[in-house]
Amino acid sequence: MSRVRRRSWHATAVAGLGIFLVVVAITVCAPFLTHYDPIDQVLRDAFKPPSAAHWLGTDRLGRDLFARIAYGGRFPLAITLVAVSVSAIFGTLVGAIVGRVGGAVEEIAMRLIDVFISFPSILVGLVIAALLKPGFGTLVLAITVTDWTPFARLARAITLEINTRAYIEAASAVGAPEPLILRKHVLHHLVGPVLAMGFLRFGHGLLTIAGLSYLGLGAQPPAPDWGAMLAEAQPYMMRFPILVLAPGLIIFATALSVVLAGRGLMLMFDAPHGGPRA
Amino acid sequence: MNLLEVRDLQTHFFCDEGVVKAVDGVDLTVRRGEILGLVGETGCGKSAIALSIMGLLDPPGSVVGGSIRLGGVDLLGLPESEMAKIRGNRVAMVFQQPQSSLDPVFKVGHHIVEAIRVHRAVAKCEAWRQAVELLREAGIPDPERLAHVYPHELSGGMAQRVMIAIALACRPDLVIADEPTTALDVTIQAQILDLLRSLRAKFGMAVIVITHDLGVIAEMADRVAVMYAGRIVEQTDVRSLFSEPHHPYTQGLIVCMPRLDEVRARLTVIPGAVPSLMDIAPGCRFASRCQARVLHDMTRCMEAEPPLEAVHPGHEVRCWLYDRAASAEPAHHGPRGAGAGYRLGLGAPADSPANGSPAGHMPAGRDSIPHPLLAVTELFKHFSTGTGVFRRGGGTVRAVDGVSFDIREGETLALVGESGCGKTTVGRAILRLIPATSGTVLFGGRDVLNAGTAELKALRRQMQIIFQDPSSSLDPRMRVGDSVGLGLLVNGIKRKERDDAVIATLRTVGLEPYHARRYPRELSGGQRQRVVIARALALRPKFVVCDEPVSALDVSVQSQILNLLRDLQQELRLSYLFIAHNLSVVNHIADRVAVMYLGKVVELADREELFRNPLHPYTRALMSSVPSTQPSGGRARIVLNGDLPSQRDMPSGCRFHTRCPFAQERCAKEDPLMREVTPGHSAACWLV
Amino acid sequence: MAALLIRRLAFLPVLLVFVSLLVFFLPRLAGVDPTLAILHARVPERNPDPEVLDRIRAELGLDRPVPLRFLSWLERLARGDLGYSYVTREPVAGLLREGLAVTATLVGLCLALAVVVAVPLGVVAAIRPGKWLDNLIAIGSQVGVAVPEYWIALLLILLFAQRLGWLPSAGWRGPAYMVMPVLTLAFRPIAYFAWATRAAVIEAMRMDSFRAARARGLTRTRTIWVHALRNALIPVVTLVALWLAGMLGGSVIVEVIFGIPGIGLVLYNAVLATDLPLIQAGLVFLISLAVVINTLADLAYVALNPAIRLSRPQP
Repeated sequence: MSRVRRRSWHATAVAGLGIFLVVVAITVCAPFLTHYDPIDQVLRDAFKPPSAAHWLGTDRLGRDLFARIAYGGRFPLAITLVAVSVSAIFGTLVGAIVGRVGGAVEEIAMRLIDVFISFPSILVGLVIAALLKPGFGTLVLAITVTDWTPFARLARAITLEINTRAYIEAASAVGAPEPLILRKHVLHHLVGPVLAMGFLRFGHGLLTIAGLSYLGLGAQPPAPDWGAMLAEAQPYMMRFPILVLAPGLIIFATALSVVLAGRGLMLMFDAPHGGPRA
Repeated sequence: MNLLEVRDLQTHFFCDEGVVKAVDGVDLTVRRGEILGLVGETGCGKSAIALSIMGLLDPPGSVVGGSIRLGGVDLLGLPESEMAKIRGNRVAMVFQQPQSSLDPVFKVGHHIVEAIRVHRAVAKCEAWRQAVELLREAGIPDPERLAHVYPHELSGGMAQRVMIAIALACRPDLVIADEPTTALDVTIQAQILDLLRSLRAKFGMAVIVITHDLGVIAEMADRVAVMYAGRIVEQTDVRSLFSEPHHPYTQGLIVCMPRLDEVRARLTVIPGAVPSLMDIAPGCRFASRCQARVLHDMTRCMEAEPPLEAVHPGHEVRCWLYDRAASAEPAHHGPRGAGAGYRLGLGAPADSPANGSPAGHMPAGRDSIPHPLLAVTELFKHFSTGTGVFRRGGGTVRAVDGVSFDIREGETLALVGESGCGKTTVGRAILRLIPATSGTVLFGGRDVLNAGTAELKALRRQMQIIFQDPSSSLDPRMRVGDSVGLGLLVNGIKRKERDDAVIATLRTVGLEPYHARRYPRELSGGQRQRVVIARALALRPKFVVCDEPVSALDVSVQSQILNLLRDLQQELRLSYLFIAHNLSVVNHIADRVAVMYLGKVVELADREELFRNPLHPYTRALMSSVPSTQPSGGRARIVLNGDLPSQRDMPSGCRFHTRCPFAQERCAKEDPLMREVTPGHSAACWLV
Repeated sequence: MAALLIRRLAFLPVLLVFVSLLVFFLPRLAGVDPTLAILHARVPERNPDPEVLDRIRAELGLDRPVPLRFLSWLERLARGDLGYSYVTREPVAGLLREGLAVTATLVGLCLALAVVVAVPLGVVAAIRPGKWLDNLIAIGSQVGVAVPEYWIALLLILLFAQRLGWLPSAGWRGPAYMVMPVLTLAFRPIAYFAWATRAAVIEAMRMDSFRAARARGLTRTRTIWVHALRNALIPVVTLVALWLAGMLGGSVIVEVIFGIPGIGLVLYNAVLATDLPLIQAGLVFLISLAVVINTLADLAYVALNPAIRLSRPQP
């Protein structure tokens, strides 16, 4: 890769990380950024345009839009974080172990993964979330059920590649037992690519969660939630487009930031990505 | 007029870390129909020259100066569209890796057809007909059928013949062959070199042969240019190069090459490594490694770079030793002509008894010895090649098909053979890195193949392995010290003791304590291989399997490592199973030699005896295939027919009979067993 | 090749039983009572008479023990009898088929658009890496991947349906109805495919055979379009096939927003109404479809790539 290109990836990755941290900061520090209560209805102030008092205006129930955006990120971001972490740890372990063990176990695991990886996560999420009643745990489950598979596949691919290296044989030759080989030789090759994939899956997961919450399966009213805010605003969007622009934009910006970070990390670690049978 | 004239070519690579001046002012001339050999080690820039001539340099490389004239036309000034008309048409190239140079999604014949139709207005069916003819010329059997197969179905030798056919499709004036046989087995190499020579005789094209192998140069070239660190250091006709090498580097290369015909106790080395081409120090680039400079106490070499000057007509050298302007000391001109005054140790090693046998060597003995250290009996390793969980629908690959030998304490048994003969599998099966199908391996009397976990762990402390490829033998994310100390960690040695042991071992292999904190990528190839050796020695084993430990190294580094292995053997009373495909390397380290073919040992003898009197036809073919450094334009040699048979489909009877020039009826029916022909010398052949 | 196909599909029945188990027991796990569900679907009454419940249970055989019910459901499924919807009482098979036809059209158009746009973009980006076009495509593909499709859908409706009035905002009654949904759904595939094509072409350009082809006299551009692209298509085709499998249910949000009667919307409504037969059969059906498409994708990979070797010898 040319010099210029590599620097620009570095820059975009850092920019992505930066934006993401800003968004997280906004959600975490919401009480310090705004004095409004996001569920406090002031009906006579409904549909106010942006002003010094209300930075983004108000929604149909007079609630401050900026406050709803700031607080509205907590639920989706927290769920996505937990879901992706669990998927990453579980998926990576499965992939690495399966890659070392091989044989029938590997074949069966791979067939299972092949199916799950292409299955529409949003549909699965929909069914689980609807049947088990929306809640933090159900939504985490809804994402994790399909999201562990890309990690498993990535971990397996890397492990398989390492299997052929002579230093693995050398480790066996000095008598290293299997868990030690995994720990000392395989793990540090996984950390980078898994981290990079984690960022990418975070973006994907966030979009799914927000989508589910648009369909009414996220945080229940009156609690603020980015996706649900889109649905609420839909009947009024022709007259007050900002009610749709703002929540959508923050979802988009957050997803974009992690994708940038993830792609940049991926290129840094030169991991196999994007390929269907990597 | 000369066909190709390269003047002051400069090709630089603009990398993140700096500018690598791969080619730094090179002059070359190639006349019509002549074969020019371009020889040098890795990183000397020879491939960069080839790519510059062809206009195939990709960023970050680019030609920054000089001129390349083909039949008077300056190639560097041509736009891409014009250059494309010349590539494949007037200048063609043959690459090092034949199988990967063919596009896997297109049929073999298609490549040739494409080469023809890009340059000539020829109908498709006519082009295919020509393609089949070219394949036939290149010695491909059954060319009508093979033109329609896909590249992955070809062996290395076949693929290279296809590449040659492609190169000749438009009858070019010049063919550039970049390491054309390096990736091939020795017996196949001999075939390909023969082919190149006969095609040159037939079509009269000029050839540039680029290689690091002086033997190939001796066999093929009319004239030779020796490259070092981006410059030509010596240029002359091939006979003069070998009979009167002038430049110290050339002399060093010739002398430190492992040889079949001469046995020296200790290989002479060129100390140090090739310098980085990024920050080039003033003065001669070879000065830091040059023993002549030290010998003659010359200061000029470090200050200014010598020009390339003719010492005789047609013989140019870049060295201050031959500077006419300086007051020439008579010592420079010895009795055998200019520059012969200080021959580097040829035939008279300074530091070992000149009796030709490797030091620390036991007297020759029989095959079955009482109390050997390692006794391998009837070792078999078969792989099944079915697909799927239950391995359905495949055959059996009989990688190791009944191998027996013994190794004494302190001795080296070399296991020699070409690719697919099973030698690597034998090494791994002995150490139980892969499970053997059947057979017995006794180490110091103890059963290795059936040992329990605890006993295996104890045995593993005594039996270790060194690998071929230093770049994949070390975990790139682990520090050197951690890699070396892994075995100690497994055996429960505490940190402080471990660190001390690691440092001691590093010193034994010629490295410094600070290397322990480095990562593999910060070390040179030779240093990495030393680390691999250190890792094997950390547990103080008694037996080491050396799996092609020097094949991936430059010639000048090979000799360093071979000497190291020999010194260690003496110091630590080690036994080696030395696996190699190169008979000449084996000449310098082995006490006894076993030759393998397709899973069986076909000959076993003491080293001297084997080289003096090889019995089995395969051994003889192997020996005669090694390109000799005595240029004689192709002496009488045994060239084998055809390719290695597939391991899934072994020939009946003696498995060598399909390629054996002396095969008789009996050979196809019955498989000969190993028989002791003279004391200590066994062979498996009906003809001896 | 036939052996490969059989080997992969042999796994299917096992997988289906496994999935059916999950799908069958999940609602039970969630505490959904089928009898109540049936009743709710027809009668708005929230607290039915227990006698009525028992009677319905006995009629429909819902008072048998659960494992027996599972087995009989499985058996009917194998025969092709997918049951009847609680809500509309129509055969489930028919509902699924109609829904699939609509979704297939939507997804087919979308992927066709994506391929036609993205693949050439990817190749062009690979021809001159690092230049402005490549950077533009790189940025574009990142953006495309991160865009929430429901947001784009709303914005498109806002602009083209509400403000400009050019296109209808919902429904599925002709080409004009297809424009916005297809565009919305195509964002992400275009982004992914362009990126994947670019990466695959660049990878193909690194092959030794690429340099060897240029050495034969082909210009760089021609070598890219003939040799690199052909090699790059192998992973790209597989990727497209995988997306197809994923989008056949993943289009649900778009279908809901635009009111498109595809299989996603069918399942969505079924979930809202706890229409168990429809949910169960639908999920099993979609999963089987995903597996079959997956297998075909693998076959395509092998078919396009003559260099697939026999598996390595295993000890």
